[in-house]
Parts: sequence; structure tokens; C-alpha cells
Amino acid sequence: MQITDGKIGAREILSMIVMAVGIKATDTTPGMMIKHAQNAAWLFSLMIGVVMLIPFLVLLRLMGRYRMGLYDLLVHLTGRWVATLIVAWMFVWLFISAALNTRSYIDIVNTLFFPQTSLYFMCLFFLLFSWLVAKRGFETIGRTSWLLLSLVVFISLVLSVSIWQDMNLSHLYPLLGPGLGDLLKETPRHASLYAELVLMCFMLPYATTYRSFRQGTLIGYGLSIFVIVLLNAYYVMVFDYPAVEHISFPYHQLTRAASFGRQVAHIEAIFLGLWIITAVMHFAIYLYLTAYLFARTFRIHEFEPLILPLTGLCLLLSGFPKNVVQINEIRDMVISSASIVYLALPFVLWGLKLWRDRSS
Amino acid sequence: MPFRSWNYLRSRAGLSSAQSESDPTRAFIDGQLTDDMLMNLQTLANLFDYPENDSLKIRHIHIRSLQVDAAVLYVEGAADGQSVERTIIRPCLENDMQLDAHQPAERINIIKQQLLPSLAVKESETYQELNDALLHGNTVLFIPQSSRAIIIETPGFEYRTVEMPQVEQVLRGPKEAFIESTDVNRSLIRKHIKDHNLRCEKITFGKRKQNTALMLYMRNIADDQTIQRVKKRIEQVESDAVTNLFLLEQSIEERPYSLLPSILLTERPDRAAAFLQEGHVVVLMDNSPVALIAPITFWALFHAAEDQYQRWVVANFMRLIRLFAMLVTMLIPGVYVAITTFHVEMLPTDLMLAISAARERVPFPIVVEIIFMELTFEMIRESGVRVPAPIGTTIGIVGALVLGQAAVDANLVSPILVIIVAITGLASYIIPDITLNFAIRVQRFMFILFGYMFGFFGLALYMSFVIAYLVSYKSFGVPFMSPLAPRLPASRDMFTRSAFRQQWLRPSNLSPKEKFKQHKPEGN
Amino acid sequence: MGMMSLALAGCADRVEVERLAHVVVLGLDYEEGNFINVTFQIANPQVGSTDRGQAEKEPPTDIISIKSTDVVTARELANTIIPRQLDFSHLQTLIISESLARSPVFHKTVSSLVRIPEIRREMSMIICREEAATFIKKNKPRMETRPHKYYEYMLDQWAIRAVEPDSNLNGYLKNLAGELYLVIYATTERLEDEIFENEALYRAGEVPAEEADPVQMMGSAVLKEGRMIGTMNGQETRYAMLLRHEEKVHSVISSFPDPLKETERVTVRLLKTESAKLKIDVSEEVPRIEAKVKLYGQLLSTEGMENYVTNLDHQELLEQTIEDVMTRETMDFIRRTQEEFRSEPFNWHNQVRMKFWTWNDYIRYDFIGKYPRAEVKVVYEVEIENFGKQFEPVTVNDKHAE
Repeated sequence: MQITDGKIGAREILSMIVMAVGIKATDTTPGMMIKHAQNAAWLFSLMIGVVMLIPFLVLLRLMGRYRMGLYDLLVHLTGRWVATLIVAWMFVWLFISAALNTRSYIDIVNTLFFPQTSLYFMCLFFLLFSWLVAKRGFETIGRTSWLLLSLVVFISLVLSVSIWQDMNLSHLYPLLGPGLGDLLKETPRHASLYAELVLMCFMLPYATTYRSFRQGTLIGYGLSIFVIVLLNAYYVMVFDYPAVEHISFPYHQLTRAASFGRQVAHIEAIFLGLWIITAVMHFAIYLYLTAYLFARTFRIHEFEPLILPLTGLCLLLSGFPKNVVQINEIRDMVISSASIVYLALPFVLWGLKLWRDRSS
Repeated sequence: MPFRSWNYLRSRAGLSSAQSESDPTRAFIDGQLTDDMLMNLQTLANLFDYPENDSLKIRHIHIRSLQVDAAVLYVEGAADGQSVERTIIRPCLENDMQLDAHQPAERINIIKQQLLPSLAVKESETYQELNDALLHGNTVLFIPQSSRAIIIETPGFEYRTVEMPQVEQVLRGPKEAFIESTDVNRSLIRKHIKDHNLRCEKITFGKRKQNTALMLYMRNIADDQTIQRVKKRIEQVESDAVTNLFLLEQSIEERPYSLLPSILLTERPDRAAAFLQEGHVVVLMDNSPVALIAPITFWALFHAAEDQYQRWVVANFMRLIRLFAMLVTMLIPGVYVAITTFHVEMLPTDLMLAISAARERVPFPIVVEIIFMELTFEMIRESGVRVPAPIGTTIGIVGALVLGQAAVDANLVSPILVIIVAITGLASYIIPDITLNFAIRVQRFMFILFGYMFGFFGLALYMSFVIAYLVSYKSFGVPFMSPLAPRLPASRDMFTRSAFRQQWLRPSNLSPKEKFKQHKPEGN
Repeated sequence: MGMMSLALAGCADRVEVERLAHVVVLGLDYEEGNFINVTFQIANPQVGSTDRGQAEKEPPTDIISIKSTDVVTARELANTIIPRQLDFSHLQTLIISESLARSPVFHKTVSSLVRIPEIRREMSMIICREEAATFIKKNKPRMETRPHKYYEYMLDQWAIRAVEPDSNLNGYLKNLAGELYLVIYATTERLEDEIFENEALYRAGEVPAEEADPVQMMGSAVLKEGRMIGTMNGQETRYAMLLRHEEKVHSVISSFPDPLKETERVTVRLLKTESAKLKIDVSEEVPRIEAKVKLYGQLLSTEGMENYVTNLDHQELLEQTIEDVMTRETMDFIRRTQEEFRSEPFNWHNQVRMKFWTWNDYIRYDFIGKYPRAEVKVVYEVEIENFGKQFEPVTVNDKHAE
């Protein structure tokens, strides 16, 4: 039957992109953005979004032309060995990101809500449930994300309403923060913050049609950027630069400020719960993609059983960094080094395509 | 031929019960009828242990018009005696048309066509068929020198009258419920669907092929693959003990250990008819005052019959309350445990001080309190089902109020907990389907456990798992949460429903052949 | 392996609610050396709750003061005395003594509070004249048994009186770059100073009241660059609020000299429905600021028995008088800020930020440095829109037939 064939539609892809990219507004990423862009963090995230969009559109075009997913495209245009190399590199990058991010997410929960609990146990449980969700297959992740999307929208609305009285528009000024030059310089270096967009292209074969894939990714991307810009703006509007630069976890600090009058205040635990659910989906997607890339690197066909051992490795790896500061440093390095690849890859492929067309 | 005693016949046949040809304990009876009526009678008699076993009855009669002897057999308790007399014995004895027939085949024909006024008459040549027919309440007519017997339908099983539904009650809507007879049930459904496309297929299953189920579907709507799936599953049931739909449900479901059901049993014919029109398959069986619906989605369990009979505003309001109640009953105890042990800052200061004051006197930790109260409530609920009616209401009042109050006074629990447990219990009654109700009640304990272990962090983790499980669950190939996830075209009838005139699309998660229920209204 | 122990022993952060001692008010005092005197006021849940949990003889709060180097260690020390675990999750109020606020260690004490995960940035901040420990001990309002209720009710009123500001930790941390930050000023001391006709001129402690609840909150303490540098009375605080761009102050009740009778006063409620219109010109060396505030008035009391209602000329006269008086008092106040405090409490710097494109440009302009020389003009527009239930005042020997 057409429905149960394991394909996902535009809506599911849309929500998965929001879970994979949009949720970055709620972890330690804004800290990174504020460090570079001061009170213009919202503008900065918007600029990165635009910069990443262009190569992505190129890639979409290529995939539409050949009607292949990213892996097949790579093989077709660059040959087996180079494709394997690229995929292997992406695997390593994604895996390290997953481990680092897991650690930073659990750090947040640990610091703010459960200071005396063992970090290892929390990581274990968290990854356990991410695995449980991921092992049910990609379309399950898609459908669950779709179901949760309305929840995400709802939380954002509730949050916006509850911090309304604390927001001060004038804090966003001066609009350009450190200056346009600085912003432009940092933007390409951080493009790989949104790299999941490119990685999702590996999943084109899972989508029902190319058109639904394109719609899903573009709308999802737009929505994610919107959420990131909005939240970055909120952080500055409520806490004001330079105070906001010293806040380790701006999203959760913001939820602590959320209140509906004096009685219904201190509701940050609810936001924590909803945030964790979306975080589980985020890491389920990461784990699934990691398993996929691993399988492609080593030419394994059945990759779903790989998710479990990779989760275990992720758990081990996430124990390595000492604390948040170290994580932020490593993450900065990881992001900066990878951006150029994600930005350049589609253009390189396009170039290869032109060259191939010309020679044939 | 003058009547003889049975034993005389037996001795003439030269047979004794120990040496019978067909062993009555054999599972499958093979063999065809012979020309010798006595032999036929003997075989059947051996099968039923006649005359020690007071079930088979044999009546010898003389068919006047044909001037021939005949034997009428029926099973006491299965066939309707009055019907046998009226539709078989009387016409045979009284009809004095002079009919001329000498060949047995001719005679059989004449009896069938001219003598017997019954509606359903057929012939048979095998003992198996005769055995089945007799057990189903039919009557068998033998004539000498014929290797064919006539089977006449005279079912006489007792069943109760059509009553109001006991579980799925409505304020507005039809108030008929299924009873234990397939025929009556089928007629109840036929009242709703007067369409020639409604097909009924009889399926016999079990090793001895003793049990019959009746499968109904709309030929122009239901998907062929679904029909085949259900049919095959039923046919594969080997056990002979499956005599009603409750057992059949457990035999054909895909995941017997899962909390969620993949089959629905409903006692309302209007619901069964509605499901038929969406493309589901309905199965009826004797001894079951329900109809089995397959495949199902979450919405089949969540929607009540009344939702469609009320107006838009009322129906949506009720649905929202039901959704809220579902979440409350599942989450509130867990949330309470999580808040009071991990996230105390969430409570308004006054409430927190009140809880703290009340809890100072209670010796047990919060989670023990909650589990104790929940278990007590479950016990009250269960005993309420078994208690005879006159005492039933008292138990409810006594249990809930007095027990709760007494527990608070004895400092076993804090007062706020009584409220929480009471609200949870009340909310759980709003869920219309029993199996879903039960699933949610069990989940409540899991949420309490996770709330206790990790506060909101644990609750969220478990919740994500529950959603993922719901979404990946399939019932006969149809995803459980469709058409919400995956999103498929359907009239908007999920958590809330659209106005009746806007519901012109059949849900496509069942791949119906005919997509439209009504004409698309103008302007859509 | 560890799963079993986890399930049985449970998460280490789990604490039953009745084992917590909920600190609802925190007081900080200055001590010699590296110390501060930390006062915890703990709410007793059994007082004021339902009858079931009632404990007759226990006091409604427990107050304990510990000398330590910081708040966290003070809490640990307090736990050697108090059986329940001290918990800050319901801490809403921070009381700081004036001596601590004027000392150089103020900023580091307060800003290090923010690191503690349970402390909220929305915590209200109050500065009191005397020692915080004394203040907390003496604050026993007669009708509020629970301490947090007092602060809840009291602090919610600020927007309709505007003789005290709204101050919390978040606001303090935002305004450390030279702007003036106003903090609620309260005290239990009584200062027998003169009695003013203009009721807004009092500060906390000066309000002439007898047999009343012990605490008075009026006026504000002025903080600049992490230290307290002075106080403002109620009237100055009110003007500081009115001239801000945000709309939070809603209505004030104030008295003005009666234009027709010199010795009397007229009491008017002024409603501010829209924010003050600010025009700031930063193009030249000295900033030029123009503020226009529109207020709607409601006449509440005329002690002078003059008719300001049916006589339209008198109405205009009243409006004009109010505007003039307000303008004069505001300019006096602004002069004080420019000369004495050398900074502005109106959050005008936020508006100035909007004029620049980059942060560096804004810092280079140094608005606060230029403020003492700035040219400020303030215009009030008052419209009296209603007069209460009465038209003319009721006079003696009212032989009205004319």
C-alpha cells in the first residue's frame, strides 16, 4: 500500500529540519553567536542563513536534475573513492558534533535542574531514548517530528507572550553591533551551523517525491531560521548586551523569566520538558544520519542495526570533554573548520557537472 | 413401512456401537451417504451416541403424498422443535396431493420443491455436512434408497432481545446494541446500510472447521488488500476453542503483547456501519454481542459515537474535553510527583506551603502515597464492576469519599493527593474505549515512575518514546496515527471535527476505492 | 549494574517538599573584612495553611543570620542549625542594607549571586536604611502572616503609585555602564522630619503615620556603576518614571498647589496612556533632548472648594498650573541629576543607542559623559477629562437660586 512503504512527505521533512536546525536556538549556539556578533546576534544568524541557502539551492537543483539523493550524486559526479572520502569525512564530523552536542545539552539540564545527579547517567538515559526513537526507522522520526511541530509552535507562542513585558526593543540597537565588516567576516566561518540541511539531502530517496522534498526542506529551513532569529532577538531584548554575553544558557534563562503575572511564574520546568522531547528527536535524527553515513562509508547495506553501537560510542565520546567551556571551544573549532566544505561542496559538484556535460 | 424400534433396526443392520464404521471421536468425519437409509441413520446415530446421549432425535414419518417412509433428525436444543413440526413434519404428514415419483432423486426434488415450505432447503451427500448442519440447528430428512439427504434450516438457539448498549452509551443517537446472534446482528447493520454493495462472506475456521465468522465489507469502498489480510488471518486460526469474537480478536491480532489494541470491538451497529462506510472490515460471530472492526487507527479508539450526532460546537467541545482528560489522566500524577520532588519552584508559594504543611504529618514519601492511592482507586474500580447492582452505587460513594477522607485523617495521605487521584480517576472514565482506557491507566504508572526518577526530564524522555511508538504502530498495515501522521487527505476529523457538510472525503489511510462520501459542497 | 542502584536509590536531586526550608527573603549586610552578614527568612508552612496542617505555637517565620564570605557558604552554615534543607526556589526578595550598598563590595556581592542556579534574575531588590537583619526582623505586618505575601502585595502596587521604582536583579545587571539605576528604598526607622504639604516629597521613614505596620517604602536609592550614591524622594522618583520611554507607569495621584487659593492644594489622578515622546538629537557635541508627556487628569479632591468643574476658564487655569508646576519640578530634578549625580535615570541611553549603527560608535559618543552638559526640555500636556462624582463642591449656606 502506498502509505506504509516507508516514505515521508513534505510535512515530515519540514518538521525534521526544524528539529535538526531550529532547535539550535535553544542550546549553547546563541552563546557562540553573541560572542561574535554582540547584540546583533539575530542579524548574524539571519546572514548565516542566507549564506547557507545559496549552496543549498544549487544542490537542490543538481539533485532535481539527476533525480538522485546526495550519495548517488556524489558517486556519479566524483567517482566512488572521492565520494567515500567525502562521506567518511562527513561521518566523522557529524559524529563528533553529535557527541559534543549531547554533552552540552545534558550539561544544561545538569547545571540548571539536576546539579547533583551523575552526568553519565543522564547522558545514558537520554541517548537510550534517542536510540529507541531512532531504531523505529526514519519515517517514524519524521512522523513524530510532525506531531511535535505544533508543540514547538505552541511553546514559542507561549514563551513570546510570557516574556512580553520584559522585552525592550531598544536593546537590539545599535543594529549592526560590532559593525557590518565584522559580521560579514564571521558569517562564512559559521555556515556549518546549518549543515544538517545538506546532510538531509542524503535522504532524498526516502521522500515521496522530489517536489515534496524540496518544499519540505525549504519551508523547514525558513521556519528554523525564523525561530533562531526570533529567539536570539529575545535574548538580547530581555537581558541586554553586554550582560547577555555572560549568560551560559540563554534559552533556559529566558524561560526562567517567563511568567503570566506573579502567580503563574517559574514555569521553566514545563519548557524543559518540551525542550527535552524536541532534543530527543534532534539526536534521533543525528544518530540515524550518522549510522547512514557510516554504512555508506563502509558499503554496508543494512544500517539500522548500526544505530545501537554508534549510540554507545557517542555516549563514551561525550564523556571526554571536561566542561562547558571546553566544549564551546572545541565546537567553535569544529564548526569553523567544516563550514568551507559545506559551502563549497555544491559548487564543486556543479562545476563537475558542467565539466562532464562539456566533455560528453 | 411400520415403525420399528430403533434397536430392531440396529440389529437388522447388524451393527453394534463398538464396531461402527465411523468412529464418533474422530475429528473429521469422512464418508458419503449410502443408498441404505438404515446405514446412514446408524452412522449418524453412532456419531451422536444415540440414544444414550440425549441430543440427537430421530422421528420416523410417512410422507403421505409420496407414500414413502422418511426419517427426520434434529438435535435437541439446537433446532427449534416447533419449527420442525410446523415446516417439516406437518406438511409431510398432511399433504395429500397424489404425487407420482419412483426414483429417489425425483422424490427428493418433489419433497424440496412441493412439500417443504421452509425458506432454506438444500441437499447433501456427506456426513461432515450433515453433522455440521445438525449442530447448527438444522433438520435432516432421509428417504430410503437415496444417497442424498435434505437439510432444512430450523435454527432454534435462544438469544436475548435487542437492548440498549451497556458500555457505549450516548445521549443522542440510536440506542441499539448487538446481541449474541449473527443473524440479528447482521440485520441490525443492514438497517443502516441499505446498499447492494454490502458483501457478507462466511468464513469457517478452526481445525475441525466448527466455527464460523461472518465478514462484512463494502465492495466498492474497502481495499482488497485489507480484506485479504483480515480473511487470511481468520482462516489461519487453528484453535477450535475460539467461539466468540473476544477470543477471535486475540487470535488474529498482530501484537498480542502490546498495550495498544489493533482491533476494535464495538457493541453499536451504527458505529459498525460507519466503519463499513469508511472502508473497514467488520466481522460478526455468534455468542458475541459485539462486532469486530479491523483495521483501526487511534481515532477509532478516541472518537465516541456521539461525536457525529451532536452539532459541531457541542461535538468539538466534548472532543477537546476528552483530549484534555486523556492527557490529565495520564500525566497528572507523574507531573505532581515530578514537581514536588524536583521542581518545587513551579508551584505558587502559597500552594507549595500548603502542600508542605499537609505533608509534614505524612510518614511516606510522595511516590509511595501516590501508588497507594492509585492502587486503592483501581481496586475500587474493579470491585465496582463485580459488585451486584444494589450495592454498586454505595461502594462508589463509600470508596471515594469516605475512604479518601479517612485516609487523610489517619495521616496516610495528604489531602491534595486525594484530589489528584479523584480527578485522574474521573478523567479516565471519559475515554470511550475500554482497551485504550486501560492502556492509558497503565501508562500512568510508567509516567509516575519516570517522574519519580528524573522529574520533568524523565517525563519528557518517556513521552517522546510513547509518541514514537504510537506513530510507528500499525494495525493490519494501516499506520495507527494516520491520517494525522503521516498526513494524508481526509475530512478533518481527528482531535476536532469539521462540520458535517464539510466531511466529504473518506480517510485515505485505508486506501478506499471510492474517495468521496458526499458531493463536495459548493465553494470548497 | 548501575541501573538497579539508580532505580532504587533514585536521582540524587530528589528532595521531598516538606524537607525543604523555603527561604523567601534574603538580607545582605556589610561586615568588616571580607565578610557579609547573610540573613535568611524562612517561611513556616504550617502557619496560615489549612486547619489540617496547623501548628498553633510555631511562629510564622524563622529568621537566621550568618556571617560568611558569600551567600552559598552562608547557606551551608545555616544548614548546620536548621534541620530542613535551605532552598532558594521561592526566593523573591533581596534586601540590602544601605551601608552595604554604599560600600565598594556591593557589586561583587550582588553579581556573584547570579551564578547560583536557583537564584532568579527577576528577584526584587530593596535597599533599606538600617541593617537588613533588623529590617527583616522588624517587618511584621499585622494582616500578612506570611512574609512573602507582604512583598508580593506591596511590590505590585508600584505601577499605580510611582513613588517607588520597580527594581530587580536583572535591571541592575543591565544598567552598569554609568546610568543611574533606581532601587526601592524602604525602612522601619522613623525620622521625625518636617511634614510636607506636597505628599510626594517624603522618603522612606519620613511619612508621618502612627500605629501602622513597621515598614515604609517610598522614594528610591540611586545606584551608579555598582554603588549607591544617594537617594531620591517620592516626587523625584515619580518624574524619573514618567519621563521614561516605556509605558509601565500607568497612573499617579498627586497634589498640586491650588491656582486660585495659595494655601490650598488640589489632588489630581494623572493617567499616562502612551509613552513619553522623546526627541534626542546627537548630531552635535552636546546632546539635545526634548520630552513630551501627555497626561489625562481626573480631579479627585479640591480642598480649596473652588469650582474647577463647571467653570471652563478655571479648568484651563488648573491644567496650566499643573503643567507649569510639573515642568518646573522636573527641570529642578533634571538639574539635580546633571549636577549631583552626573547621570540620567530615565533610560534615555536606550533611545540614544537607536541612533547609532555600531556598538563602538555608541561607546565613542559617550552619552553619559555628555549628559551633564545636555540641553533638556520637558513639556507636559495635561487634559482634565473627568471630575469624579461631583460637579461643584458643596458649600455652606448654598443659596443657589440666582
